[in-house]
Amino acid sequence: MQTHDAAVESVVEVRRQIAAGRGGSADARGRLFERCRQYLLLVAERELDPGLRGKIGASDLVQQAFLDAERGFEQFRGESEEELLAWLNRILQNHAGQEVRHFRLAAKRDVRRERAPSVSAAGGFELSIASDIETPSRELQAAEEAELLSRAVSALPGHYQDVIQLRNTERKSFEEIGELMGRSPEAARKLWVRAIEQLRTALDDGQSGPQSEQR
Amino acid sequence: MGQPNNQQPDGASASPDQEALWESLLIAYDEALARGDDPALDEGLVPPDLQPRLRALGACVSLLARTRQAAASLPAASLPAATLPEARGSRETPLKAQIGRFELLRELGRGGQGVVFLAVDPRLRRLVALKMPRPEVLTTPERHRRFLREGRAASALAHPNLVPIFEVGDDGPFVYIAAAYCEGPALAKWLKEHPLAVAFHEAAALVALLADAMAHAHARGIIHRDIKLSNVLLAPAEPGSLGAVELRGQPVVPCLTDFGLARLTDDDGEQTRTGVLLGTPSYMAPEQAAGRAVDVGPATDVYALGAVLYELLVGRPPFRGANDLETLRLVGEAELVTPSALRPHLPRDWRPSA
Repeated sequence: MQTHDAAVESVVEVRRQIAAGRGGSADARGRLFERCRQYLLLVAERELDPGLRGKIGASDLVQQAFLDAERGFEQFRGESEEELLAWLNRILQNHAGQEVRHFRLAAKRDVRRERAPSVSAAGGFELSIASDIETPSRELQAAEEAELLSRAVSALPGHYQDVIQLRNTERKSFEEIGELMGRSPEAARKLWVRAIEQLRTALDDGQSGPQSEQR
Repeated sequence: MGQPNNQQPDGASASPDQEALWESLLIAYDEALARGDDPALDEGLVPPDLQPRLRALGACVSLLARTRQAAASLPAASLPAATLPEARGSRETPLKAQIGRFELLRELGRGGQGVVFLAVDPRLRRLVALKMPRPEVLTTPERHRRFLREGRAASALAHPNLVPIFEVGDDGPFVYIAAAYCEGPALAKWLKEHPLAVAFHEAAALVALLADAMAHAHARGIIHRDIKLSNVLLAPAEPGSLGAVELRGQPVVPCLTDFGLARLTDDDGEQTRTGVLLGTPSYMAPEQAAGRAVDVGPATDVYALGAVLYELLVGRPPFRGANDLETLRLVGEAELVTPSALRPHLPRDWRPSA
């Protein structure tokens, strides 16, 4: 717990760092981000969709947010720690909301080919995609597909999820699957086929259903 | 639950031969994709009116394969970094992670207290539910020891309506409890999918079984502290099996899970520095809600079980405010609305004894 003087000093220090950071000091920026890391981690934890948690870690999300913030720091117009947190939070929300980005970021990519992010007049955050990224539409489509699939699988009853995971991801034999799931290999095969059928139905419903809301 | 096994899209039942064909076509297609071949699904082998369906299922299998390949190209750093030891495994399945000998498959749930993973035990060749404290909570040697000690105590419990704990262990800094994996849904989820479906005698029978299980634990000095609908798992059962009841005509074995573990995975042991309360406000007995930890005992569990019964019949827990704080206040102060006032079909003379 800080004394009043210490608290005031801290505010002044942050303002100084922000100014230094805007003036070009990478060191100051780094220090600022570190101050915010804990808070952003908490936010990222809360924001992540349960279906995604296995694929994207909160700390990775935060790290990506910092990368964008670092590149686009001159766009940050605020002066206080609160404003900085709010700005970083928006970047983070953007990342969390655009899960398709996950696949784009994970691939080895030349950072130089991406233009810096820009902050719109309304204070929102947009990332403009460089036009010379290879086949972006295919990447995005694949990522969207994977996202839909992930959601559909996660919504299946437990035993269907399990058999799909054990068979399609872990590539276990039906003998092994039967053993693990307390069934004969034949029953395991039938279970897998039913799971695929259920998954197909879920995917079809998901596509024709109402648009999912923006996060 | 789900469609009948033999149902084909046109509504007619498939012959065993047709079913076997369907099955082997899809399985062969899937295996070929896994090998890296570029297979075609031989649709001509099924009747024309079923070909679109087969094609659709083939597309589904192919999507799974594509996604798996895409995932395989992700660096291991995509895993929640603070959560797991570095992923061990081949390039084939880089997302495979391990705790001790257990191979983690996926996350089953995440609560304020901890995380539960579905895992494979390769030694005993079975699936387990692996429970661990939340990785963000730092573990001290003392907490580590306490976790193992209390997990061991909980593993001594044996009752058809308690989810058995198989073992307790650690892998470096990571402590875990391996419990039986229950395929069925939690009562919370089931109720959401079947609102107001529970007949009075069914609910009473279910809760009676849980009360018996609770008594078993209390006799051995273990209190649950966090009984709620999401801690009651409904294992599929044969009719007449031990500890089974009928829910909407389906036999299930209701099992209490996480007995004795509620205290293990919180941040500060017995102390609640920032006033974070153990338990779920809607199910808390007044002494719990008031934070009088020392008064918490078997009666606390009994109260929570009563709240579960109330919710089964009425559709909501006895006290639920707009937020946790409000709920706690209601627990301490409000009058309980008798169930029959909310659900007229319930026997008028039944009052929850809290």
